[in-house]
Amino acid sequence: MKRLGLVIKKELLSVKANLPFNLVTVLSPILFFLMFALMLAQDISLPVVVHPGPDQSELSEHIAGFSTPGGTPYFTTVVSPEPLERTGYANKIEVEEEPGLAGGIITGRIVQYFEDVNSNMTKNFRNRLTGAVSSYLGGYLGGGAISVEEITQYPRDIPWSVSFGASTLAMGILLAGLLFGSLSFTQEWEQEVHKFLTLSPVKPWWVLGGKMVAGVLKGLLATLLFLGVLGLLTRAIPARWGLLTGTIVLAYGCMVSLGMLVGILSRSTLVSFLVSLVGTLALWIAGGGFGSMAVFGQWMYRLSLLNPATHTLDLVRYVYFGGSARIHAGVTALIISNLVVTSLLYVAYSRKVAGEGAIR
Amino acid sequence: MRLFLEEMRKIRRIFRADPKPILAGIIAPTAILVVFALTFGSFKPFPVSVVNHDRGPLGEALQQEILGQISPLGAIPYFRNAEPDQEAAMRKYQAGQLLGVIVIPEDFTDKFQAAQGPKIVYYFNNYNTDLAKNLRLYLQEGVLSFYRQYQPAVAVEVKEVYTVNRQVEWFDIIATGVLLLATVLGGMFNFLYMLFKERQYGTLLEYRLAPRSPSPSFWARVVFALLMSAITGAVNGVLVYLMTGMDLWAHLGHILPPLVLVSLCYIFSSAVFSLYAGTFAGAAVGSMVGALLLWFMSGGITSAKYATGIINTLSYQIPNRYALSIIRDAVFADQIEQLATNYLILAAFTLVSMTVALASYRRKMWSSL
Repeated sequence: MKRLGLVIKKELLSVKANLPFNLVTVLSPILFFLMFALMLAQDISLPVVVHPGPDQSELSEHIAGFSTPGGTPYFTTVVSPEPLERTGYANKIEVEEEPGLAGGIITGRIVQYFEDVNSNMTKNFRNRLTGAVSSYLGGYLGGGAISVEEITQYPRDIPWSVSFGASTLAMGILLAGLLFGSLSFTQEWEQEVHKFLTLSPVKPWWVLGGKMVAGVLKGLLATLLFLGVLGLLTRAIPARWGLLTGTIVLAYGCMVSLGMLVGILSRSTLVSFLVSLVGTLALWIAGGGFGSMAVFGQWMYRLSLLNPATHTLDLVRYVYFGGSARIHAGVTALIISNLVVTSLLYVAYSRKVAGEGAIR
Repeated sequence: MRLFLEEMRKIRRIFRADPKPILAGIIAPTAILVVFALTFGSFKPFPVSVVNHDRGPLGEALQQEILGQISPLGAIPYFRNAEPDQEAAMRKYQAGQLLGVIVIPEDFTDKFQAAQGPKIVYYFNNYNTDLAKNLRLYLQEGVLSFYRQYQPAVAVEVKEVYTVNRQVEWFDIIATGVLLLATVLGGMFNFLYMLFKERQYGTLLEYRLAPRSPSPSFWARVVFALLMSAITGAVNGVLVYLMTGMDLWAHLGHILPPLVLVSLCYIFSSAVFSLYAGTFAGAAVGSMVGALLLWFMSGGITSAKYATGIINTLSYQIPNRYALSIIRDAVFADQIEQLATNYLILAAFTLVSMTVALASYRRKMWSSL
């Protein structure tokens, strides 16, 4: 047990030897979150220029006020004092003929100008106007309008920046875990002290256990800092601290072990850094960090269940937003991931660092 | 000139002994390109279930209108009916395999024809406002189309006018951004790694003893890093071609100058960074994360003109914004807007970063002990 304590102490003290690396690892997810939080501060509102303004057109007024049930406007409107055809604005909407009822028929003419080559912006712009026109017509149609009863998974739409914050929390665990784990071994080679590990009579589990505990401790500190920033900026506070702590510890256990495995196999800080960065992105995206995996079909969805990031993301979202989550399945999957990765790590360490293979 | 050439030879030898830094310029942007290709490269219809219980014919008509609307993004339907059975659909929805379930009740036709407020029920996942927005508005595309087909009282016309000559996929726009990222990272990492290699070998001390200024050494490192930028950019350009079919070589005359200027900016910045950072690991992580953050903020994945507030203000302070504006206009638009202004600003960025880098190099490598 004393050996374990010494390994942990050595790992924690070595932070000083590579302070910038540790600092950047801790700060990266926070910086990414801050950047995206600023980028998404406008949420789903899209800037558009309209003519005539709400004072002259009921439809323009409706477009300006067209919002989600939570009150987030779909458009941020700017009124042009002159007709739009020859103006150089970006996306614009001209109400050429105000919709109105004439002889039992609702007539009207709207021109929507698309100024962007990006088909995604075209889609977003078109969808919003369609939604505004459809809901405007609903007022005229009365009993003939189709109403939609919404039963959503969460009581209210989770703001984009908050949802992304929870997702970035999981990304931070992946990145910090992999980087802390890989550096704990690459620094052995770079400082040329790996020979001590090869010659040491200490059982592999003590070395690996010590490095893992130190990695998890550093990770917990990084995540605690992230939770503070997230809470301060979005006022999002996790509802289930016990489950959150368990999830974070299990996820770090898995990622630090995976990082150590990468460090042992590459022996280079640069290579393991690149692998960690790419690995984080791949696991995060494939785990549904950027969007639901259901979109990619059944096969990809099932494959994503093998990814520890999927379960980390599910549990973190559940802790923050509630809704439905398979808690037992998620925790079990993380425990199994830990067992699999640490077994692989043990084999790699025994063969490449501590065993006779390391000498050969 | 002789010193410059000798330095070039030395750097080449160091690089040949350990060519890992080129990986940074190739692997990271390639991974980003692949990741974005998977997420934004091939948009798939949202998997939902549209369950029709209607006794009359209009329920089926509404179902067809909801499922038949085509998105301008990828020219694919917005929705895919992944499960026709309501019970199975609800199970899949709860398990996260479907994003929504739309139920058309049995009295839909009766109520629609009698104008008694026909109602449909929409279960959907709203774990973020963007997804909820899409799910709501995609449904409205179907509803408005249904009104136009089956509600004779509706004769409102929405005319679409495109003031651009074509539409391109979002991924193509991202790919041009990744090309810039690859070019920048290749040069940055090369400068960083070469300097740390020499610090490791202990050869940097020799500059302090030299009677001549280390400027030729500085320029040799810059030129070599720029060469690495060209290699990583070219590899990425080939990947972009394979993944999107975009022939960037056809626009080389317009793409190359802004890429060179922006690469130089980052190479000079990495020179300053590597001179002051204590360890390679810290410098590598810091520069990679910093470059990525700046890339995102300056319109790496979508045009910076949609940025608002502080991000918009910040994006004007990043050279990428101006380079991407020239490159994207050259590749996607008929004419390049504000060409002279963009070049002028890029040149100013390069000049300032060069002055700071050269002064730092002389100070740290030569004049101070």
